[in-house]
Amino acid sequence: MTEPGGAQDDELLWLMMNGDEEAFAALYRRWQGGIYRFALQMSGSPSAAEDVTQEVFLTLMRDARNYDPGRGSLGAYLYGIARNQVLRWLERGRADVPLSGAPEDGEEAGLPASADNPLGDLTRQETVEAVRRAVLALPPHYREAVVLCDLEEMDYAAAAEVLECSVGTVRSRLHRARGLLLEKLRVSAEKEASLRKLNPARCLI
Amino acid sequence: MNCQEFEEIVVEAARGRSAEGGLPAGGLAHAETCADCAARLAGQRALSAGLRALAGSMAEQQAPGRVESALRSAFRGQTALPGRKPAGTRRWYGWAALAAACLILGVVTVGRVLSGPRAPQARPRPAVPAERPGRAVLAEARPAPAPPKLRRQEQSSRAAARRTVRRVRQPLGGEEQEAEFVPLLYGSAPTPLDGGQVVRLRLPPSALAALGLPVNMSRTEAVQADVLFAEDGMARAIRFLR
Repeated sequence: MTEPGGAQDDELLWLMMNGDEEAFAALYRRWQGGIYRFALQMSGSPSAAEDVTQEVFLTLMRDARNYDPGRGSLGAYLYGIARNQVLRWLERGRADVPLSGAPEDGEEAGLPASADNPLGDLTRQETVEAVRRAVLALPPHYREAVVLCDLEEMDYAAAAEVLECSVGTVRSRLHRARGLLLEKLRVSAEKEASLRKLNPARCLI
Repeated sequence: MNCQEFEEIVVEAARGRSAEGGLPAGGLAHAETCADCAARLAGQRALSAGLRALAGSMAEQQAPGRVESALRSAFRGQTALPGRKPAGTRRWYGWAALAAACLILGVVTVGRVLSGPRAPQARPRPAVPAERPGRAVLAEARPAPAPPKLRRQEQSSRAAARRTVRRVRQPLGGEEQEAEFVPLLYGSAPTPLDGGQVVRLRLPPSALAALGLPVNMSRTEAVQADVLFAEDGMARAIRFLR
């Protein structure tokens, strides 16, 4: 895991537990970005991501004594809380429609096209949206492997700490998830292509 | 390298996480001769590029500023809560209270055993209003409502209840003369009580000695005393009846 200043986390945590608000704020600023993105990529909902982020740090505030450095890093502990919150949110069936950002000016050219590349004909923005939709359509246990390993760029060991499973399980889930992602992207690319082939009907009235 | 071996390395190679940082020479050679594996490699590379694009598009995403404000307020509220002490302190108090309760229980049990078949004469006794601290408060005990069990006993015997009330209302000058309450301190200064209950017991000299009170050990008969229990179940004071 990309852990910013791991040695300092324990010190900040100790200060926070002794009532130091600035230490708490420093921990928050250090970790909130990753936690928020993780929740957003898992849920597709900015409001859910905001709630999850808030709940993660409220839990840290209330139950910091439950954190055991011997069992893993503070980052893994925080991501673990976020994961539980997100899974609970998903179980409640409140998944929103995936976000669709507005096209940006000066979009970059799409990825190189080929028959085996379902993203080849898309612009960068379309690629981002297609991949985002495909990730959100994955089952949660595959989605979290992709989000942690490919989007948050955690190594397998750190992801295994968060997901509370073995490194081998993370690896196999990621491989399976990437296979599913390619299938989904291929299907959606075919649908797009068939829609483009249709000629628009003219209205004569 | 065959297709199965290629399958095992293609994801890590496309993610740039393989030991070689890409596809090893054997894999490249296989991809040049196997169209299926070449297509698999192209797909995985495109997927990695797409995922990198998605990650890049979200790299600057952060929780809104209001989340930090709300959390800071919650932090201030939490640390401002009165009575919040480190867990170690709370644990120490808990053990001390438990030890004190065990001591009192032991004294009372020994007292009952040594006083023979006679049951201890527990009566509802005055509670203590929290007006003044220390011995003065303890000395100004006033009647308090009896616990439900004692009330039921009184209802079953109206005469006994009348006797009890009479005895409570005439603490001095009656059949028994009561001395002033002596605080039983367990390492802390006497504090005002919000309420409590006085229980009359017959205590053997050994129990009095265990409480640290001066006692003539040559006497064997039990001594009648009122023990003032606070609402937390701790004995706070004792007075002897003459």
